[in-house]
Order: sequence, then C-alpha cells, then structure tokens
Amino acid sequence: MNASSKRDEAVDVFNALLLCSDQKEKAQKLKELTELLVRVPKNRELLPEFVPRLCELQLDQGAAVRRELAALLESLGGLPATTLSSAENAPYLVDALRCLASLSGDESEKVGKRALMAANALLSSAYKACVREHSAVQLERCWPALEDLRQEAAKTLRADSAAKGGHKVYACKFLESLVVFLSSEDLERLASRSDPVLYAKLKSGALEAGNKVFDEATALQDREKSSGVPATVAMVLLSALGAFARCRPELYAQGACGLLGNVAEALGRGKDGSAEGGDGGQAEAKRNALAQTLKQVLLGLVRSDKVRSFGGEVVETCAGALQSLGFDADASQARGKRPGPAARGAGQDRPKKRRRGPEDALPAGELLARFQDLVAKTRRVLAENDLQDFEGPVLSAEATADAVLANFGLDPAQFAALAAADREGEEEEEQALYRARSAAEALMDAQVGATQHAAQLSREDLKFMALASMRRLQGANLEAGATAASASPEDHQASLQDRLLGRIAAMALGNFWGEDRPHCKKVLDSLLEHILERMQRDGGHATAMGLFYAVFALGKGFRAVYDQMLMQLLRGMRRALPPHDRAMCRLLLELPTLPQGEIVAFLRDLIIMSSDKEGDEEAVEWAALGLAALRDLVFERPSLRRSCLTLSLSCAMHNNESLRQKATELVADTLYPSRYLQGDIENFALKALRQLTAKGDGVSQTEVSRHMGLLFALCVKKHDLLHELLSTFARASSAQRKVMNQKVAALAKEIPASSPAVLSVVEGPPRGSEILLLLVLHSMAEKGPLPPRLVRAVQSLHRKTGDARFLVPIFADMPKADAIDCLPKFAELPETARKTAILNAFAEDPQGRTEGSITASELFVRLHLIDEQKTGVSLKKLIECTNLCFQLKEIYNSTVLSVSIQQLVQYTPLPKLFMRTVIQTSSACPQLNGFIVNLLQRLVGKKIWEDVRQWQGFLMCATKLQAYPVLLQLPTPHLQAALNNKRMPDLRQKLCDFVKQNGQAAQRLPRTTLQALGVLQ
Amino acid sequence: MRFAMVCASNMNRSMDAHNLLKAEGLDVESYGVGTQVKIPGPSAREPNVYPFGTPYHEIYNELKSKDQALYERNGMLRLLERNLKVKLAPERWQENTTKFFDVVLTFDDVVFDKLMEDVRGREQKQMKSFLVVNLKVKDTPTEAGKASPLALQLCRKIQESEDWEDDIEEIVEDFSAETGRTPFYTVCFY
Repeated sequence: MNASSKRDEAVDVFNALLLCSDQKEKAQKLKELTELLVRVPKNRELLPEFVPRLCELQLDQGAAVRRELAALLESLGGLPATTLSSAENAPYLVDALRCLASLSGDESEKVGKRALMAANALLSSAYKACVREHSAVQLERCWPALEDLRQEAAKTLRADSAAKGGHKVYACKFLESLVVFLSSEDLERLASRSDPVLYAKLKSGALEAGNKVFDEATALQDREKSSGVPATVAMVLLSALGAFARCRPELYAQGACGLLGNVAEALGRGKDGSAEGGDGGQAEAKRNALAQTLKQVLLGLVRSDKVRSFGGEVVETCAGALQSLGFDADASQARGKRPGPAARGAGQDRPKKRRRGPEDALPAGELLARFQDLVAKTRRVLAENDLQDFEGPVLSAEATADAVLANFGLDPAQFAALAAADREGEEEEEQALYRARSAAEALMDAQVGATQHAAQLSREDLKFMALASMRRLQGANLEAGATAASASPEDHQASLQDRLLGRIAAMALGNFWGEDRPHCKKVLDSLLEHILERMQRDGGHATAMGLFYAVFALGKGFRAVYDQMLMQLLRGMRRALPPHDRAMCRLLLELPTLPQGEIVAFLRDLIIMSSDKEGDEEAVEWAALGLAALRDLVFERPSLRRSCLTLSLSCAMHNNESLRQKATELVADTLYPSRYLQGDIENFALKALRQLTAKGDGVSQTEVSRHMGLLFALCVKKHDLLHELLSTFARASSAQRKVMNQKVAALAKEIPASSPAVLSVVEGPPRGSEILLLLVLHSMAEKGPLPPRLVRAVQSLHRKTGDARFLVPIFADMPKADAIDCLPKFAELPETARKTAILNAFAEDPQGRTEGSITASELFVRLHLIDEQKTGVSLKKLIECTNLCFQLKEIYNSTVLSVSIQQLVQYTPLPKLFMRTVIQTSSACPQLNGFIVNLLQRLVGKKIWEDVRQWQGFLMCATKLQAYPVLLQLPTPHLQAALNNKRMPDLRQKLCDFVKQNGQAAQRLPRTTLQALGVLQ
Repeated sequence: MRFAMVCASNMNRSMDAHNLLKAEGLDVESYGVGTQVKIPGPSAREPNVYPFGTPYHEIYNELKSKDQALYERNGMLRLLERNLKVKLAPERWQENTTKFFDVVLTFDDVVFDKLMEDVRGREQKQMKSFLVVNLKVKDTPTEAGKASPLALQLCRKIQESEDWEDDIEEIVEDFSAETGRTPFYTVCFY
C-alpha cells in the first residue's frame, strides 16, 4: 500500500468517526484507528498529522469515546524508543499528554481514571525511551503537560468525595511514577549534564509529587483520618512510599520509613483496639488488608540492597514496623539481614568506648604508618581488583572511608586476609571475580574487627591523628586534583580522600567539640582552607560535599557549626574565586541543608552591594552570579523558595536600573513560567503597581518605571494581565500614564494579536483605559494584519463608544464595505491618525494587506465621493484628505493615481474635487501628462463646460499642460467663453500662436473657431 | 475479567478452583509459586517431586505404576484425573510473563508472600492495577473442595462490581458476612 492510499484509508475511518452519531460506533472507529495508525509500523508516519486531530475528540460528548481516546493515546507508549524519545519524530507526544491531562479531570470518573492510567503508561514509556536514547529533549517538551497531569492527579487524590477509590488509585500511582522516574539516577545523570534548567524542573516536579503522596499518607497515621481513605488508595499510598525509598534511599528512605513505621504502629494499635472495642468487620478486614500490604512494602525495603546499604537505621525502623504489625518472624529476619558496621550509622551498636591510659597508646608514628598502610591497601584493592561490582552496596567510597577511619591503630595481623588475597595473583582468570569479592569481604571483615580496636584509642591519639592524617590527605588530594586537572570539575566524583576528610572533620567535632573547641576550629579551618585552595585550582566541590555531609550527619546539635562553616566557606569563595566560577551555585544546590536567613542575607549582599558598584565589571558579574544562585535555589530548594523568590522580586524593583533589568528578566523569563510561582509573582507585581497608584502624581518617572517594569514583563508571558494593566492605567496619574504610554508599544509588539486576552480587553475595556488600549492596538496593527475576530471586536467597540480613533488600527483590516461606511468619520480624524491608518494599510502594497479590505485607489475614489451635505464633512476636510494622499507618494504613485482618476471620470456629475485632483496629479506625476491630456479630451466629450467648477479647473489644466488641440476642439461659444476668461488673459495669444505654427492642423479647424480666435475674419 | 488461582504446586487448591470457575464460565488460569511440584509420597519425608511443566498424565501414570493403592487411598490419582481434564500441566507463576490478570486469588499466606515477592521484582510496564486476594485454605483435597465454591462466590462478586477498586471493601465485608471467612487483599500493578 503506498503512502497516499494509507493516508486515504485513515482519513476515511476518521471521517466516518466524525460522522457517527452513536457513541459505541465512534469508539469502535477509534479502535480501528489505533490498529491502523499505531499497530501497523508502516502507517506510523501518519501519526504527526492524526494525533492532534484525534486529541480534539476530548470534547466529544460520549464518555465511551473519550475513554477510547485515552486508550488510543496510551497505545503510543508502544512505539519504538527511538521514535518516542525524539521530539522530531514524535512531536505529538506533547499533544497526547496534554489531552490526557485534560481528560484526567473529566467529569466522568471512568474517563478520568482511564486517562490517568494511560498517562502513567505513556510517561513510563517516554521516560524509558529518553533514558535509553540518552536524550531528555522530549521530556523537556512534555514538561508543561506533565506538570498539568501532576496537578490534576494531586487534585484528584486530595478530593474529598468527587473521586472514588479507583480514580484516586491511579492518581496516586501517577504521582508515584513521577517521583520514581524523575528522581531516578539515570535521568539525573542525563538531565544534570545536558540541561541544568530541566534538571531543576524535574527535581522540583518530583519533590512536589512526592510531597502530595507524603501529605496524603500522613493521614494513615491517624486512626480516625485513615478511616476516610479507601483501602485501595491507602495501599497504593503505602506502596508509593516504599517505591520512593527503594528508588533513592538517600533522598526518601528516612522520611518514608519513618512514616511507614508510624502507620504500622497505628495499625498495630488498631488491632488491639478492635479486639477490645469490637470494631466493625469491615474495619477489621481493612486493617488486616492494610497490614498485609504494609508488610509487603516493608519486606521489599529490607530486602533491597540499595536500602540496606544506605544504613542500619532504616532497616531497624522497618524491622520495628514489622514487629508493630505482629510479624515477628519477618522482623527478626529483617534484622538478621542487616549489613555490617560499614553501612551502619555512626555510633550505633558500637561497644562503649573505654578510655585507654597513655601507657596503652601506640606510638603516634606507628599509628600513622598503619593508617597509611591501610589507605594504600584500600586503594590497591580498589584499583587492582575488579571492584566496580562492589562500589554500590558493598564497598562504596563511603563505606571504605568508614572502614579506613575505623581502623586507626589497627593490628597488622588483621590484614592477613587482605594480604592473602593480594598474593593470589596466579589464579585462573575465571576466579578473578571471586578474588575480588574475597578481597572486598576481607576488607570488610578486617574493619569489623578493627572497629572495636579503634574505639579503644586514647583521645589524644585521635586528635593528633586527625590533624596529621588530614594534612596528608589534603596533600594527596591536591596531587590527585593536579593529575585529573584535564577532566571537567563536574566529572569529579567524591574520592576516598574527599570522604575521609569529611569524616575526620566530623570525627573531630563529634569527639571534641564539647571539650576542645580550638582543636576543632583548627581542623575545620585547615579543611576549609584546603577546599578553597582546591576550588581555585580544579574544583574542590566533592571535598566540600564530603565535609558538609559528614557534619550534617552529626545531627541537629552541630547545625550551628555547619552553618558557620558554610558561611565561612561562601565568604572565602567570594574573596578567592572569580565571579564567573559557578562553584558557588553548585555548592548551594547540593549541600544537604542551607541556613535560610544567612544564605538569603549573603545573596542579598552579593547582588545588591555588587550592583551598587556601578562601572565595576566584576561587581556586575557577581550580581549575575547571585541572581543565578537565586534561580537555582527557587527551583531546587523548596525550603528557601519563598525567601529567594522574595529577594528576586525585590531585586526586580531595585533602584539600580541594570540590576532591576536583570532581575526582571530572571523573574519573568525563568521563574514566572513555573505555575507554582505565578501567584506570588503576580501578587507582588500588582502590589507594586497599587503602591504606585496610591502615591498619586508626586512620583518621578524613574520611580514609576521601577514599579511598573515587572508587570509589563509578566504581561508578555501572561497576556491576561493586560486587563490589570489597563485598569491600572485608568486609575493612574498623568506621570504614570506617560510612562505606561511609552512602554506599552514594546509590550504590545510581544503579544500576538490573536491572543484571547487581547480580544477580551477589547470586548470589555476598563473605563478610562482607551488611550492605552489604542496604543496597544496600534502597535499590533503595525506588526501585521489583525485577526478578523479582533477587528470585529474593535468595530463593535467603536460602535459602542462612537470613538473614531478605534478605526485607525483596524482600518487596514476592515472589510471593504465597513471601511467605506466609516470614511466620513475617517475623514474627520486628525491628520496623523489618518496617515497612520493609510500607512498601515498600504505601505507594503497599495492593494491592501488583507484580502477583501479596501485598496489605496478605492480609498482615494471614495474620499472624492463623500457627500458634504449628507455627512457633514466639510470640503476643507476632504481636501486635507486628498492632499494627504498626494503627500504619501510611495503609496499614491502614478499607477494608483491614474487608476483612481480613470474611475473618477466615470461618475456623473464629476466629484467636486475631480479637476483639483487631476491638476494635482499632473504636478505630482509629470509622466502622466499625456494621460491627462487624453482625459481632457474625454471631458470635452462630456461637456465639461456645463459644470462651472470643473470647467474652470479644466481650462487651468489644459492651459498648464498646453493642451491647445483639446481647447481648439471646444464648441465655438465655449471657446469664446474660455478666451474671454479673465483668469487667462493670454490664452487667445497662445492659441493663435499655436494655430500659426501648425498650419496643417489649422486647416482642419472649423471656420468659426478660427474666427473666434481672430485668425480669420 | 481474567482470574488466576494460585497455590504452591498448582495441583490441589488452585486446580480445584480452576476446575469449578472454568465450569462456571469464568476466564480463569491457575499457577503454583513453589520451586517444584510436590505430591505426598509414602511418608512425609518422601514426597514425589516434579518440575513444573510435567504433564498431569505423566505424573498420573508414574504414581499409578509406583503404588496405585496408596495414591488411590490418599486421593492423588483422583485429583490428577480431574486436573488432566482441566489443562495439560502444572504452571509456575513466576515463569508466566505474558498473561495478565485482573484478580489473583492465593490460597495460603506463604503463597501470597511468594507471589508478592515475585510481583515486587517485576518491572511495571502497563501501569494497570490488579487485585491479589488471599483466602487461607488447608492443603487437603477435602478443604480444597470446600474452598472452591467460596472462591467462585468471591470472584463473581468482584466480576459483578463495576469498579472493584471502589467496591472491594464492601465486597469483602459481604463475603465475610455470608461465609464467615475474611480474606485479605492488596493492590498491585503490572
């Protein structure tokens, strides 16, 4: 089947579908189209054409049709990954998801449920395709639609009664998928490198979706509230929490497991309560079902390698939860599967420290030597063996750091197993993996033994070793940095040294903060200095992360130290790094937590103080960096979002114009498109405007610009704000109006005339806003033709208000008949307005710019035909109008004028201004003189002498053009009258001369003519 | 609506229910979740073990040749005779990746756990929900015979519901009131 017949077949089915009146038949046709367009690979090239048209069926009245539409869109998920991941090959994916977003809020719950099911499957396929093809472009294009879907799903999940269990189940599942996909490490790797803005969006989307699930799941902790949650929804909520924790334990495990633990406790209490109080059978059955579901979720967590490697605390929480539910055997089994101390939280299950006397301490040199030996062995194990397999759950850099740190003062005998593993170099190749595993396990075993040993070290030894090993590690770290300088800083993964440095600092703090702060300060200062040094050279980011994560892990008691360290580092970076270095932004994004007040104050200083140093280019760059940091924090740090947004907004109103402009761009172009920020941003902009109008006239123009800039910028993004702008104009003082008038032209050029918001303001403009609205319309008309709907609306406004100024912007695009009707009013307009209208209409082409609109020559002719008596337009005005046309020579060129005159000459009586126009034409276009002489001849045939006004003009014109043969053709009485005309005293002489010079011509003249001239007696 | 009956060996409880539901016209399949098909032998320590996929008639012939009297007495031959009329061979739940069900009925807590373990490990592709219900039944031919009508009753109720996600709580409550058995359930996704 060739391409056109495939298409014809699909078109036939589609047309048949549109003609069907029966819902079932329609749905059947949709199924056929699914088969035809999606399932047959050859026909898939038709999808870009058909999917958008099919999406229009979302408005179909039949629920069955809308449901089938969702199924069709779901089937797109079955397309190959290469197609799905490409915005070029599958541009319709956006339409499909947008359509599903709309259907998910359908009035029919069944349609809504089906749409969410389809959206979930389609999202899953699109995500997998993007990851597989290493391209996040398609996801970026689909992002707004996915945001809509997220909001619909959240709304459904939150609804009290509107959506029943089934609909909510899929809403919750969709949110779960969003979190799991958007938080996935694959996508993080893909997006964070290729498109940081998209990465920020994805992270924030995942966070929003996750928050909704957490919010809803919180109700399950409470017995009363949970009774209102349908069992199926509760089950999916619990499973979602489990899925979050399994997907990214470092982000979700603690929160999710804590919540699951609380739910387990509540269910456990419910069991006892129902036994005592005799709850209803349904409640008991639900409790039982939820307990079983929760058990499965918890088992899934404790059996997940990722979760287990994250830490024992989480496993313990899960085991405790299983116990609360009464699954003791599963709880014991979960505890039995816990990992070794490497992955355990610091301090947990460790034997109590026994302080050793100085006599027990090993010589410091020996300890250091052992430590060095252990580091070397660890590195060797990592380097020589194929340890990639273990880097995750078994031997991550994190775990190794723990191991090394735990082994201060280790007895070398503990490494017998390691050494043995090292010696087994000649084993067969197939045993390599086994050896690698043995080495890793040996290291872990050694560490288990050593933990106790290290715990017995004296505190002085620990202090000494902490500083000494930190310096050694810093040296090694700088060396490693130098060798890896060619790699980009983003590629640097946290090395063993990075982890160790952080751990050592944390250990120093954990052990000595209470008793020896100067020591701790020394350690921290040394490390911060080292980080700054590395940052100046090649990065240092990973080292900083190691430090801050380690200190963060010490808990809330050390949060003040953490905050202080962070501010010290940031100030150091401000001093030591160039402003184009993005290290600061990256640091702020990736740190485990940020002190809100301090960070915002720091950024405020960075931006505003830098902006105050006018002319200092570096200061400008710092301000730009500060704004970039604000942007990142708004998107990626929900806890700082509000304060950073407020700071961004206050910068957008700052006195410094350059800063204000940059901040306005940031807010309008980057932040405002995010729906969740729109409300706050709009409120701020409107409040600023209201403050201004309240101040009245006593404000400078600069001040007015300062208050208005943001709203104007927002208007470009959200055209509905135009109404607000016009309302403000209506209330504004003259100074404010002046600024608005100046700015509005640029704004209107950015807004498409087809925007519904423009139509809306034209249909109901705020009273007193006419001038601004006119300026908006003028700017739009200057850009190009206005859409017919808008033209009709403006015409209607003109009829309603009687304000002829509204005719100017639409004159070029009005239907011809309407334009002709309006001409008397047009003629009464000031000259500048008329000129604008004519230029808009004919500057590019005298034939007009819109089909069916008036042409330049028609306008010219119709102006001549305006009846003074009927319309009340004075002749003087009409002369002004025609004069204007003659001024616009580019438009009213010889062609247009000749065409116009030819039309005018056909009218009887001739229009009053006819001969005036002919004379003006002969002056404006001398090349038309021949044409005019012919015209004069024609006028003789039309008995021009009968119209006194035209007759005078005729004689003037003929004389001016020396059209003597024409004059000699006049009947003798009229020739006689012409000769006697006092205004042309020398006419007789000129004609006589002509006759004498053209003897032959004279011979053909009537005798009476020659007699009138006096040539013949 | 598609149903799956699941027990340990796809021999007794799941097959009894499969037989009845099939006879009543429901769209049903059956599976076992164990690693092998186990059939009681001369003593508790000497079970007969077969890989999943071994046709019922082969097992029947082998048992008959081993000790016809014993296997007639413990009901195994009668059970196999019934099974081979229902389908060819016992199937393992974990090996089925192509058939999808709306409702899965397990007949033991351990079976439920094993099934859930398998479901957890599967990648979710279709994002379509299914219901897993566990109805605890002792693994004897008599108890299986008593449980099958209950399974049928429960499946009919679910099938009659317009939307089980909305109605499952009421369905289980009604079922519990009518039969005195309270199954537990959960929601999973393909």
